[in-house]
Amino acid sequence: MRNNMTTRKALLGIILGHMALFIGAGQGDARADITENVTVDTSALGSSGQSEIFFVLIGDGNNSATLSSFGFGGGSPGTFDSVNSTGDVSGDIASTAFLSDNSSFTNVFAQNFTAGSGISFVLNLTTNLAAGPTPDEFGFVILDPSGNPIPTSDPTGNDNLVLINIDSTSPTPVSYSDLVTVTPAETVATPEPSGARWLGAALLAMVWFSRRRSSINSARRTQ
Amino acid sequence: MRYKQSVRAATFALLSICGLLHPLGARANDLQSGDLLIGAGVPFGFGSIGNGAVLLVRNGAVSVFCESPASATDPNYFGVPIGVIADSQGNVVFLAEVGIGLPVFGAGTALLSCSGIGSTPQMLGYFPSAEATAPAYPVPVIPGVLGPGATFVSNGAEAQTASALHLIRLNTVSLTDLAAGVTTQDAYSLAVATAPGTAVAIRYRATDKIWEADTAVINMTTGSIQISEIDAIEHSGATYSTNGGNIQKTQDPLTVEASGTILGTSFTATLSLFGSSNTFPPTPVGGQPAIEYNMAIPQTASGCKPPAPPLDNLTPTNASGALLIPFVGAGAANILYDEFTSFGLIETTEYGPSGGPWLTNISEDLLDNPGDPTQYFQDGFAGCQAVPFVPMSVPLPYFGVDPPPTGYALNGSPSYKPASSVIGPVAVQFSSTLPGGTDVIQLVAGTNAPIVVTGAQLSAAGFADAIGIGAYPNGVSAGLSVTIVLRVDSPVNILITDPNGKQLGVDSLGDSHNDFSGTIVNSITGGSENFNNGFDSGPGEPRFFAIKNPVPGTYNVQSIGTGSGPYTVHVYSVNTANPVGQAISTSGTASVGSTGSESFTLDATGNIAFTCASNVSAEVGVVRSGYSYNILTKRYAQTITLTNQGGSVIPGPISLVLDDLSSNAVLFNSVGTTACAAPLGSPYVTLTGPLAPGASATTVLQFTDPAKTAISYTTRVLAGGVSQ
Repeated sequence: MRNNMTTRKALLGIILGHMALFIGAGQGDARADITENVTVDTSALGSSGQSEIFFVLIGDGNNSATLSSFGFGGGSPGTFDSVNSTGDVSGDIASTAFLSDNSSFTNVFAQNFTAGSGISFVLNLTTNLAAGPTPDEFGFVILDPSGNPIPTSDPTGNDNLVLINIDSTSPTPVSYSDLVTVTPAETVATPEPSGARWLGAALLAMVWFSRRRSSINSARRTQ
Repeated sequence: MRYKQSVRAATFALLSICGLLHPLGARANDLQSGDLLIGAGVPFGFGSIGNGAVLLVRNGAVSVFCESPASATDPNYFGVPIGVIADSQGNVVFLAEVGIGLPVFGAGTALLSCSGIGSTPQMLGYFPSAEATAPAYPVPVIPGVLGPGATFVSNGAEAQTASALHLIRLNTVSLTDLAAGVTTQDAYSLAVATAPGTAVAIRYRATDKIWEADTAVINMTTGSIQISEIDAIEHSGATYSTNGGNIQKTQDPLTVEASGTILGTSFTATLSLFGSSNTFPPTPVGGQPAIEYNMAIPQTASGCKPPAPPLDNLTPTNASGALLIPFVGAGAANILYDEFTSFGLIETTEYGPSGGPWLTNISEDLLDNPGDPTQYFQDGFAGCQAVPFVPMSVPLPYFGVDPPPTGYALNGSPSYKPASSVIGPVAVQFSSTLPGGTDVIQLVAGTNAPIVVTGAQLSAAGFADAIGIGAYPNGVSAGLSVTIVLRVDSPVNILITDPNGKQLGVDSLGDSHNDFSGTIVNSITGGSENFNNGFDSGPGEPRFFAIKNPVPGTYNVQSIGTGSGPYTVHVYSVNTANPVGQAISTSGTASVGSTGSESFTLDATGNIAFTCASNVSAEVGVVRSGYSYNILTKRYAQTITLTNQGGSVIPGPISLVLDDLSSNAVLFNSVGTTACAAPLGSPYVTLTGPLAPGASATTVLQFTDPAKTAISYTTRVLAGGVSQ
């Protein structure tokens, strides 16, 4: 019994130590993803036809963009535009849209919607730096029911409403229209996947250890 | 002299009391093209002349432009103007004697300026004779030339201590890191006698209002100098001067004021470029001076056997078959360059086959090339030596007509300095008996010169004894003078090679070359030509090189490293006829012994450009944005920011070249592909330059990429040049 207690204490120490290490290491390894609340005044688009929103993620920096919590200000989501979409994209703006440049250089998510007073969503964007001189970049464009982009001051001429140049781990979104509001959501440090796996393993070990102790105690009671 | 002035003063005091003074009152200057300006005096009996005045002659009518007070005791009193010019702003500037009636007798010559009709002259400078200095008169002090309290030597007649007044078009070249330009202002140049037999040239900068030494070389070499014998004129970037014995032509130096920054350290420098002088007659060959050659008189055979071409085998002789007189000492008393008609260089002489003086048109061949054998003849009177001759023509004998009209004495007093006017050269000539004593005549090709103002007209206006004459506008041709200047920011030496193979600079062995300056001696005639069209400021940083009147074509600039670090070579082109020049530069990184080569082109009007744009990638930071995507055109866009991280200005145009662009992509907004600066065939876009140190510029690249796959390339930045 004494040996068992000693062994358990040692194992628990090891596990807690690992957990502490992971928690500590997790602070350094975490990607500083950015999460932004985005709203676009779409009242000028009208509701008589389908507008279309395009989310674009280009690069080779293994980044992803998750767009969620859509609101349409009295409008409604339409159908996914598979013709104009390309690359590693999935989802639906009725719930969550997802883009990744892990496997594809050009990633365009396109979906129609009926405009209300505004469209809003939450953007979560990873900020891994590209290995070469060209950073990844995220942006989005809205076409009106006539197929014309909402004009912006985008210096590239591509009428992006917002561009995020992922040239650092905490890039700044740049808005090119007064119709757009971008505000940071609460930023949460996200552990790296490998760290999460270790954490999960530690928790499983604790569960296993706890169950094993329960099993031993049960056996003793049985004896 | 002192007694005479006292008489004058008393006389003018009397005239003043009698109310006979000319009214004065300041009025606006309104000179018009074609106006003549005559320096004359007020007669007061017994052939004496009192106060002076500048008379305006317009359309044949005579009026007063500005006039001295009648009383010689008035501080503003001046005598008869002996030299008159009108500057580009319409100010009338003249030399006149002053100080003769003051309590402290301070006779001397002053430079005065009248800004308008009826204005009171402003005294710009006063050159007192050795006797005394009038208080409160401004005696110029020019460090190294005229010290405080200087007095001057008169020529013994009246109190003339200055002469050779002429207008200068004073060019100053300004060079900065980014630009080149030329500023021009009027300057009034004159000669003052500082000691017996010695005179110096000084000038007053009209815009800056300062006195300084005249950097042009003026002919003052005679040992028995009389200040009244010196005269000078500027034409097309050269100064022609005479000391009464011969004529000299000097290419005017070019003043360059340079400033800039080298690796964060600023500098300024003032340079005096070029300047060379030739005189005719050149050094006599075999003891024989140059000979006047009146081209209207047939030459005679020299009798020298055998003839020695290219020397002329005919001898310039007079109508009696005798050798014409030597040019030296022929009384080249005044000179003029005709700016408006076609007479060219003109002098007044006192001698000639039919009696002088004349207004004479002189060939410049010997001034430009004193060794030219076609300007030499075999002198049959002196052992068939090669002797230079000076071709002349006589468009206007003395008095304008020959024989002279009634009232004029043969071989009278010499003419005073003529003036270049829009109707042709005009001159004052004397009469001993006609009213007013003088006429103003116009020089024309013939023997019946028109009299544009008679002595009777001057007399009727209350004046006489015209001496000085000027005209408005006073043309001073700038000439078309292109100069290229190269500035080297170390650590390199450069060797410039022009399209004809002539070199300027320092070679790889450290030896200096300047094929643009030197002396050419003609082996046949012994005459020598001085030329100074290349400039090297010598070791130091920055180092300057310059070439005057460079030939158009391609210039190679070889650079040889003398140390390690970045270097820049600036090339400037300036034309004294244009206020704005051009500036280009190329940069690189040197190490000891490293070599580089750049070429630039120069066209006939002074435009310069590097043949190939220079690679300045080492000095430029390039930051790329990510790609954005155009939903409609399906093209990719990328913003590029270029930042000058060096210490020197990067000249425009600036080109961003994409080397090794991945085959899946095409640069949609390319303006071309490299065809001069290797590697070739790379697409590029162009930004407007120049780019100052620390400054940034952006451009947007557009790509087509149908496969929508990754786009890759490397960047190169080119600057300057005519080809990328």
